[in-house]
Amino acid sequence: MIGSPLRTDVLFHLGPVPVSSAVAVSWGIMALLVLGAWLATRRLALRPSRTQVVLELLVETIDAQVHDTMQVDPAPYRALIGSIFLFVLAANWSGLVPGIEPPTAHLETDAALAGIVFFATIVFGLRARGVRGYLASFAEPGWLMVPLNLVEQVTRTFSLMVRLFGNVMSGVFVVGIALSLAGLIVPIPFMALDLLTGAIQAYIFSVLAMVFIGAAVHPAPPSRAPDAPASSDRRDPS
Amino acid sequence: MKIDFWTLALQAINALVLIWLLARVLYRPVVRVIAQRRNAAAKLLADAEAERDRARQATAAAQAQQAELAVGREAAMKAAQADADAARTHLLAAAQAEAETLRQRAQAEQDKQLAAQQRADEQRAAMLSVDIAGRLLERLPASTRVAGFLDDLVASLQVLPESQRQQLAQAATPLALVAPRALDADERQRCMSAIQQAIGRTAALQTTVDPNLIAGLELRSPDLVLSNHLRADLDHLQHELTHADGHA
Amino acid sequence: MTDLIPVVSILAAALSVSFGAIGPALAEGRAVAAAMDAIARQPESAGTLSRTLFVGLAMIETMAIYCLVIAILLLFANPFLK
Repeated sequence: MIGSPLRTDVLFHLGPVPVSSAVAVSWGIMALLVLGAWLATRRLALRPSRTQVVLELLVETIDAQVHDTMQVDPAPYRALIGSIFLFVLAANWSGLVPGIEPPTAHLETDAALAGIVFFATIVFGLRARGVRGYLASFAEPGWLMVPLNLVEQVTRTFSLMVRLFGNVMSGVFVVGIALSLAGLIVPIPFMALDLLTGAIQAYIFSVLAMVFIGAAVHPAPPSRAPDAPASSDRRDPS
Repeated sequence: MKIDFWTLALQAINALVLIWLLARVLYRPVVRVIAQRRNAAAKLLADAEAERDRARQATAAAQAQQAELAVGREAAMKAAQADADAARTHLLAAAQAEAETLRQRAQAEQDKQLAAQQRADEQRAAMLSVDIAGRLLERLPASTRVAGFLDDLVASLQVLPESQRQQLAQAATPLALVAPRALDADERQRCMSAIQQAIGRTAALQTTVDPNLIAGLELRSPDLVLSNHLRADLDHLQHELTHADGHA
Repeated sequence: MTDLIPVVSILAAALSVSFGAIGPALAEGRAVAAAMDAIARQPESAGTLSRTLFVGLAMIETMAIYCLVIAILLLFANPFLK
């Protein structure tokens, strides 16, 4: 991948709808995840098998993270946060498969995920605090903060998108450059770094989604009010 | 910078579908199983807790019983101790009393023995003295051994009350005169006359010899014995001697 | 005149990446030094510290990534270069 990372290469058309490679790979990842989950959860027992232990550990870790970050019951947010994490992780790591570009290395996928987080924040905020309460939360420290808070809603979503895109895309780019320069063995450390970056970025993406949703659900104390969107989007949950 | 909106929409739909599918396929069953296991574990824990409570109650009951037993045992031991104390005190008192009585009895026995011995000693001494006196008196002349006492006999006869003297005089059986040796005729005559005079009438008189008298005379009737001899005196003396101490 | 825009774009891309890398580089150095210090003081909390460190490093790196995105936009999706 030495060409433009912003270009979408259309594989085929489904009627009038152009299907890009990112969408196709996403479908593959979805099929893999759902099929694997379905196979693994087909027979669950009180006395767990090895697979079931892994699944339970995963679900309980997600629950613990949600609870730690948001200080609420994790049940309504488990599916959203956990699925985003699993999908981003699988997408980031799919770059290791030869001939496949990670869907998250394309801006559209990241924009879709960030948009989902954006709308989820609004939906959960409205559900938890009502229309008046949610609208009042924009004037949280004072009325002067209303425009800033409104802008923050957009910019932090944008930064969420660009962060994931930039990290994954740069990783793919670096591996591509290394591959074109050295060929065989040299790209392996970069790919390992890609693995690490992909996992961390998946974790950061879901943590930030939790923080945004948590801030919308909770009445945030004044000290925790964000000032600059780009530099403060990872707020300390504690 | 251009964004392919078809891809954006497709990816958004993909992500939503994935969230929905994973919620159905992955999270719900796993959470259900975890909840089931948690319930089972809670039930198990509750059961164990109940069991432990029961065991604790049983332990408490056993301890209470043990304490009760201990209290009962203590009471029994105390009672036994008191009984033993009482018995010991009683026994001690009894033993002391017995020892006291024994001691007293031994003392009395000893006293009695001592007294008996003393009496025997005194008796022996009296007998010895009487013996000595008898031996000495035997050396007196034979005549004095009878004649000297006749006057005294008569005097004692005269001292008797009248009724007795009458009775003595009217006795059917002959009076017996006891002498230490055989009286000769003269002596016999004198005795007869003196006695008859004293009584106031004649009376049959029969003489008997008894060397035990040592010296003196004795007049015997069925109702009355008039002793006037040394043996009687000595006996009297001896009696006095031996019994005087006993009364002292 | 039309040749000037690609040149300036390439220069701007190089400048944005180079200068955009300085700040995060310094920040990452400070973060790692502080983490080392903390781990040296409290080795038992090394797990939590290193996890937080990695996340923090990723956040700091994002700044450099922003610059990289700008550079790539300038190189591949320059709005002034039709």
